Amino acid sequence: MTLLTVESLKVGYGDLIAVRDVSFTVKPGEIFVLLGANGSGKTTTLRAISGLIRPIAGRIAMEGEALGAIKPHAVARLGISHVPEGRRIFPNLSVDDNLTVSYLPTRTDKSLRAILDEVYGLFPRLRERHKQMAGTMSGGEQQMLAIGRALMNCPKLLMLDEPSLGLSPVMTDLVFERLEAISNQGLTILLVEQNASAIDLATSGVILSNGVVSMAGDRAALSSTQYIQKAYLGV
Amino acid sequence: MSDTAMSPANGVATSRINWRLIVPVAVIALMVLLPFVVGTQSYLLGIAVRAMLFIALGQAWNVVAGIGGQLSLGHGVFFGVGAYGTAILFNSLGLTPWVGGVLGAVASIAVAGLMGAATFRLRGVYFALATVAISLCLEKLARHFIGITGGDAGLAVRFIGDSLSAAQSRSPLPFFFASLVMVVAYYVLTRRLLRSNFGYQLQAVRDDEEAAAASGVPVFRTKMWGLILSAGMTALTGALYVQFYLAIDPGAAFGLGQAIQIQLPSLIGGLGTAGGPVIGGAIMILVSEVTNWLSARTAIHGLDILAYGAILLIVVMFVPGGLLGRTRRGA
Repeated sequence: MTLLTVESLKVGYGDLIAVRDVSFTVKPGEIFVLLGANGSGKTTTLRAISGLIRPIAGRIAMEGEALGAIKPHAVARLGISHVPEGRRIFPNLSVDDNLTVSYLPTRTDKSLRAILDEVYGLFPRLRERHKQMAGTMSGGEQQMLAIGRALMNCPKLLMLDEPSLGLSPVMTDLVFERLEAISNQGLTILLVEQNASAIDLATSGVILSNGVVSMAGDRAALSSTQYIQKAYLGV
Repeated sequence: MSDTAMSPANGVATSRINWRLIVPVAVIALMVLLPFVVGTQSYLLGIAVRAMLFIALGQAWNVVAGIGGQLSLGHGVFFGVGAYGTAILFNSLGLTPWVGGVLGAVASIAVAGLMGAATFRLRGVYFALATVAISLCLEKLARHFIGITGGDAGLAVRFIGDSLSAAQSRSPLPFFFASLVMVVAYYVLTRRLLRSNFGYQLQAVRDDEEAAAASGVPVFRTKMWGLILSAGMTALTGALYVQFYLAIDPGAAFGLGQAIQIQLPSLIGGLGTAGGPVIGGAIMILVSEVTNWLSARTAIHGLDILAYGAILLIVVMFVPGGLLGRTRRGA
């Protein structure tokens, strides 16, 4: 039983091939990490899954159904949520409005109010700032908002692109701790990280280098390959 | 970034909510009383109509450009199609402007649909460029097909005297109330839009197209409906304009000068806000009355354009989001 299948994915920008050959599967309920150094193809892989860039070759399937040439908003409506790199919240909208935009009544029986309460329960700081314009918040608060926004459409799969980027170690710990809490509620998470401490969070994952999978396995396997971490992650 | 920032921010928010109801209601009440104060045939009423038509155009542009972030540099297209459509249908077929105006809006929406379909899948400047290109085309066409449009000289609406069915009047009073209703309706619509799901989607697309798509917002469709709404509003204002002035010419309809003037009320008053175009438009007409008076005294022409430019510069330098602006980046 798999939730997400990526098979022989190849993606590029013009002549530049960022992802050469990437395959992996994500099982329901797990926290799956995509690790790798800068330029190894992590972000491009996520963007391909989200429909933000069209693959040159390969197959992406959600619950056995191939996504094909589907539009990004339709991917979101299938229950795949993407927290993009650099957060990219809507700076001129309030926290409330940022969250409301992502609410998709077609995906859930829950009311907007009920889901807002769930998200604010996960991130009490956001509730305190619910009327504030999002662009005026700190980086950590914006990251919480980006994650909260991705939860508003009741996804089956939550994809995060380097949520620790630019955050203080304390804030990174807090974000990772919240991801565990979200995972404990049964949501499947696909986490892209350069920060190798994400392995502690993972149930399994792959290490990418130069657009190919150089290593795949569960948490024990990933954390035992110290030399690979040194080679590819520089830690 | 501590919690101390919270309480003053909340204080501002609460007092603003009150002002946001009191000020508009007071302004509307004063406007309704205006004809009884200055007299129903007053020159001032004509100025007020001119101001409100101008404000309404700004409000219409604000929907797609201010709230939706899609920079239209050629909104004169929708204005001109509405104005010419209404006038041509009345002159040649005798069709009442009440219907002609709606048909003009429909034609305008069709043009908007074509423009959007051709350019909204591309990001960046393509839409803005297309709006300029279509303005230039329509201006040339309007000058060329003299039989239909009157050519360079423009088109005069056949005047049949005071008539409700022809929407004509010697007195500015009916136009005063018609344009007041239009401005108030557009204001209420903008306020509701800003708090609606569709409004959030438009603003999300404005702030970050890709993040909006990843959040489930259908970007293309959202831009399209934003443009269609804006084009329809602009064309209806064009219809009212041509009934008031009883004339339209290619420059006033499709000229780039007109298109730029449509943008000024929102830029000065506050992009993406409900009150911004109202305040910005009112300031501009007041200024233009003063400069017109000065121009007449000094025989120096174009002082109004000079003043608009100076005001815009000052606003861009000191309050980039406009007087009521809430956009941080001013864009």
